[in-house]
Amino acid sequence: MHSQTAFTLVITGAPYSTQAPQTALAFAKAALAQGYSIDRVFLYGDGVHLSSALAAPPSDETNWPKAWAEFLQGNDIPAVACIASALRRGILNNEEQARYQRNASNIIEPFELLGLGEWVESIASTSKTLYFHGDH
Amino acid sequence: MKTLHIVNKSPDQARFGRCLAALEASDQLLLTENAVIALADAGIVLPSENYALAADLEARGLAGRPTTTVIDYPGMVRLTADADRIICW
Repeated sequence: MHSQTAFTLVITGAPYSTQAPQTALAFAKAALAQGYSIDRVFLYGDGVHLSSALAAPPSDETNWPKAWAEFLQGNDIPAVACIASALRRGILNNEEQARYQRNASNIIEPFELLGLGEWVESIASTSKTLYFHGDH
Repeated sequence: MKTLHIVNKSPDQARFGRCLAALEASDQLLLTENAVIALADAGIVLPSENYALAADLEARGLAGRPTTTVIDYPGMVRLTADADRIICW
């Protein structure tokens, strides 16, 4: 086991338009399998689309929000979507739905909407941070 | 300090070129996603310690180069865990 190494993963590329969620998930599974831990997963910018419970891809394609949600829940890994990125792109929890008087909320569990303070804290305390970017 | 550079951009993207320009001779380079296309262009000079993700090569029908170490995701985990510093381009 390598309990001294923990990763924070930051995903900034959206599912279906970039490979970022796919590469990050393959990396995350391989890391856990080798005994490394993942402190936290952050979605930032277009990456927040990965936390939409409303994604409805064809049944023969991977549902990336669902695949990530299952992985995070199964391994008790905290996951955060940047609230500033999320609100702009229509990713809401119940609290923000009420605040902005929208007709639905759509964030998939276990993702939470939080500010960047959490991110800074995690980067300060974790030993390795990896970014999974989009194409630009 | 040795740095691991991870680049996922296609070689025709400006950031790919910036990544190569920023490399020190002792740095490591890992090509992922569309960056593996660089291995098909003999005109692109890579640092001596360069790696490429097997799944991304396979998805694009590329074989790599004899001087490139092809790694899988567990190999990527080991590379990142061993790195002093990581830059994701």
